Amino acid sequence: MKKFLIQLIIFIIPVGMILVSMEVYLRQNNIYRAKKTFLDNNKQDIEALILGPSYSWRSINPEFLDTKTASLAHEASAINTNMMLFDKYAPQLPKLKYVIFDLSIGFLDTHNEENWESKHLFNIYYDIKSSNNNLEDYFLLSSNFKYYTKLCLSYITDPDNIPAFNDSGFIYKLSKQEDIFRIHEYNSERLKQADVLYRRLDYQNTINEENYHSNIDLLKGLITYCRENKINLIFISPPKSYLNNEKISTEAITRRQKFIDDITPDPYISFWNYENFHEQDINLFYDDTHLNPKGAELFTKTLNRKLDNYLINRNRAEMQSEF
Amino acid sequence: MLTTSLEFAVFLPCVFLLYWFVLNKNLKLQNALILVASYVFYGWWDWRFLLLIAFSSAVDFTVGILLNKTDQPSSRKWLLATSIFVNLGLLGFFKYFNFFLDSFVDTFTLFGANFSIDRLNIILPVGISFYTLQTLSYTIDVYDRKLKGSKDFLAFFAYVSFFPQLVAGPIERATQLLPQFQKKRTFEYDKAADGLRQILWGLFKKIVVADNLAGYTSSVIANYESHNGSTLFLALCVFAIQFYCDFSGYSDIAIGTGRLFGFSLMKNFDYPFFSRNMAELWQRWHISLITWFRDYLVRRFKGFHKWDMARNIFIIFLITGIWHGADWTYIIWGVLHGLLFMTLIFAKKRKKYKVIVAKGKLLPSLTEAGLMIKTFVLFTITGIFFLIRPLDKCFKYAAKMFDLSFFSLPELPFNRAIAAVVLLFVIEWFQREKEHGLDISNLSIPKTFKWGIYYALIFTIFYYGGDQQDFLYFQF
Repeated sequence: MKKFLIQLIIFIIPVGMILVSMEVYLRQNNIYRAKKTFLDNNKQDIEALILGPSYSWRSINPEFLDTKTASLAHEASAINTNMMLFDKYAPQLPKLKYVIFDLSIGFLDTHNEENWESKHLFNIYYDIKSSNNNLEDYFLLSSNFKYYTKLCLSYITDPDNIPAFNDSGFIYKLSKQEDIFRIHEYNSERLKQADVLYRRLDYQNTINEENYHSNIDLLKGLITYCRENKINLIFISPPKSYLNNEKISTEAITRRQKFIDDITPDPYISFWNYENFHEQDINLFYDDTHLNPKGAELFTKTLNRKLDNYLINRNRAEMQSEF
Repeated sequence: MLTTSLEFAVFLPCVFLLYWFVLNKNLKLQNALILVASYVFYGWWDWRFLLLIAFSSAVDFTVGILLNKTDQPSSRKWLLATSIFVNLGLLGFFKYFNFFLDSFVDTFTLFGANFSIDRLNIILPVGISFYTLQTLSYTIDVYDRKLKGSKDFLAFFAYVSFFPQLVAGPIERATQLLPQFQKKRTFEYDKAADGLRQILWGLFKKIVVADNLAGYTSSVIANYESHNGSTLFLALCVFAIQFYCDFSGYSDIAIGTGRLFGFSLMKNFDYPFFSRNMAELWQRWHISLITWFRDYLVRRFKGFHKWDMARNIFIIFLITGIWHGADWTYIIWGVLHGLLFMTLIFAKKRKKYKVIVAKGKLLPSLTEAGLMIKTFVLFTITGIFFLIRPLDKCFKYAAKMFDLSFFSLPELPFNRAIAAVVLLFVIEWFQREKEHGLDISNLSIPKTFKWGIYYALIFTIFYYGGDQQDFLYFQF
């Protein structure tokens, strides 16, 4: 019996050591961890919260904003998962004045299912569980072994594949693999021929009535909360390249506009559309729908000025209403 | 709980350590641990159905004790009938109620009476077909006086619910498994080590082969109208392999797990695709089910004439078909296999092949290879009725499969799936005289090389495994 156990332990140790080191390494260098740590360390000071998918995450570097801002925008997250984050963290932020919520085209028609790809990350880092969390979802490696093993191997084989991110989880140095526009030397013709382009177009032009209505219900809840707590709610559509914008369907634009028309008469709610911001300067993008760090810096500074003006105008309006 | 899940990977070592390190000096406590572990394992899926197993076990435990106390033939018959009625009644309700209801309505509709009855929304409890036969084997064995009715509540309840084989077999006989619960078990290094190897092999078959093939078969079958005949045929072949790896993979994990706890479970698959006729295939496929029907059902019918044998075989396969599911397709599948087997009885080829093909040789002869391919194709084609429902879709599928497009090139599964199948067949061919594909205990190679094989298999399971699928036999 002892011999069996000793042999088994000796057999498992090398595998276990490799797996544990990989898990620790992946957890240490994890953007979700950075965002959560930033949030925990600055709860008393945070005045603005950014929510949305990767469009907002990659476009706004909180370090360039005058207001203390936490970005909880995550890759492939839909409105329902963003609302989980909002519901959990908004009540913990006593100084919260703004919520910047992504409203890119197509976002109203998407939904994260129970098996959405980042379920394990929300579980591990934010302690947000979906109804069918399994033991696998408590570890990065077991949640998606193939993906994380490949990621680890790509980090080991070429350090340029490791993205660099700041304290707020913003990527200021892209990984070599994801900088698609640079790989194609920012050549529009080559990009148009590449099959990697327009990969998100289906997603943006998708029409799904069920998701649309459930998302609107969720956003109505968000609006009510913000109104009751005097939080300014700014819906935003971050910049996309013209290669993407020229392919968006009229129907998709109309659906979003209908929702915006319904909500914007409210003084606490705004919609800022930056979709066409420098859309022709493709050297500011790393793919058709995401700004690169250089583009994000330019955009965040523009957004910062607008937020400052907005704050001045809001304060003035509030003072007038008090008198 | 799936035996391929991380939950099971945590559950199994915990039970194992408690079993051998904490409770090893007390048989009753070991049995109690197995019982609790088995109920946790089953309850993980749906705790409400634990009541069903507990009820079934309680009825048969009581019947066993009462059978001990009476010698009156009529009383004994009544007791046996009670056990059969309760167990088959539960199985019949959960598995066949809607089928009989539909068939009843269809029959009346055929004669012009138009009426409808609402179907019940019944959930089929996982493993009910398996543990029903296992617990029935006990009362029949006690009735036949092959076994004394057990007075050990823990041993009996643990026997019915033994977690490694609870939901998909092998279906054990009371005479074989129950005595193992009643005597002290000692840890044997070689047995446990080989148990681990068998678990690893089962995981490889299930996760690398079956799960990688699942996507191909389900997509072809769901859209069979848009595929050519050769692809439909290939999908059936692929399904046969997927099904084998799924089910025999589960059996390997079950047998291997049993060995870790000092139990010997019966072999359920014995390299069935290396069979030279259907009779040989059925000696090697789902052995525990076929022999159960043979031992507990048809042996009661008298007669040794070949017509008697043919009748018995036909009954076995008819019941096997019905056991698999509440649908006419399963019944037709059973009847077809019964007829194929009967032809071998009349041709006096039923027991022609008793030992594994090309025993002691590297390769089979051309004739043997041809016979194996013929058997595999027969098994595959009859699989239409096993795989596809409802019945009219089976015929449409067959018609589409055998149209002129049968002679065009098929669409293939992923390269990874093909590589997994090739690897499986090569390993199983060279290991066909062994207990399982990874039985390399007697192989005279350095230990480091053996460990290299295990590491490679573990890596393959993690890295090349398909998307997790439920075991196919859970639906039965």
